[in-house]
Amino acid sequence: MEEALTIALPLIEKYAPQLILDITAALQKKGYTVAQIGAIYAQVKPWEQLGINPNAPVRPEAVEAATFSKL
Amino acid sequence: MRKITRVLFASVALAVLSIGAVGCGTTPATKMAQANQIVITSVNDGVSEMVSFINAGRATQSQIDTFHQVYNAYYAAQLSLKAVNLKLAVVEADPTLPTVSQADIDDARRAVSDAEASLLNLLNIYLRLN
Repeated sequence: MEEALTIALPLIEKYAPQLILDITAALQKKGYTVAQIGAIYAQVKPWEQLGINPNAPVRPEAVEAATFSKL
Repeated sequence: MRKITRVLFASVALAVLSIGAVGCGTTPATKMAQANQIVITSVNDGVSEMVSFINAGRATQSQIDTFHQVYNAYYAAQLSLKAVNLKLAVVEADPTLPTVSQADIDDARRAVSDAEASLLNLLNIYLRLN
């Protein structure tokens, strides 16, 4: 996972800042391609949009250990 | 739960195949993005199951934290592949623009493949054991 981040972050920094300008140019000439790609990657949501309820209860970490200790 | 486990196991194999596969798109950039579609769909299925698992209060805080960390790595990897794909599309539209190196394409694909495998393996463990 850390390796994936190490690879990914420089690529984002390298290509993302210019993307807005590049995409604008591309949309003028061949927008459908960019739109198709955008639609595919729009399905990859950031963590905040996954629908996790921040108020959901969590299972206690100690339950399993306590169970094992009783055994 | 067994169904999703089978889906996750199968998706790891499918994902590896799809990274190098070619879809029926119109351009190399579109084809590359479409080949990644199956990875996205597979991961989204597993993530959706994990979100339900968390919202039902069945996950521990450490499981949520680990899932969060691994998911962010996957998201960053997909973002990099998206950037590379969009850049390729732009270059196809305007060849005067600087192109994307093959090394960067390979790196972006590898990052997604690694991150996706880590995420699905983690979901397999959490959803199968609980």
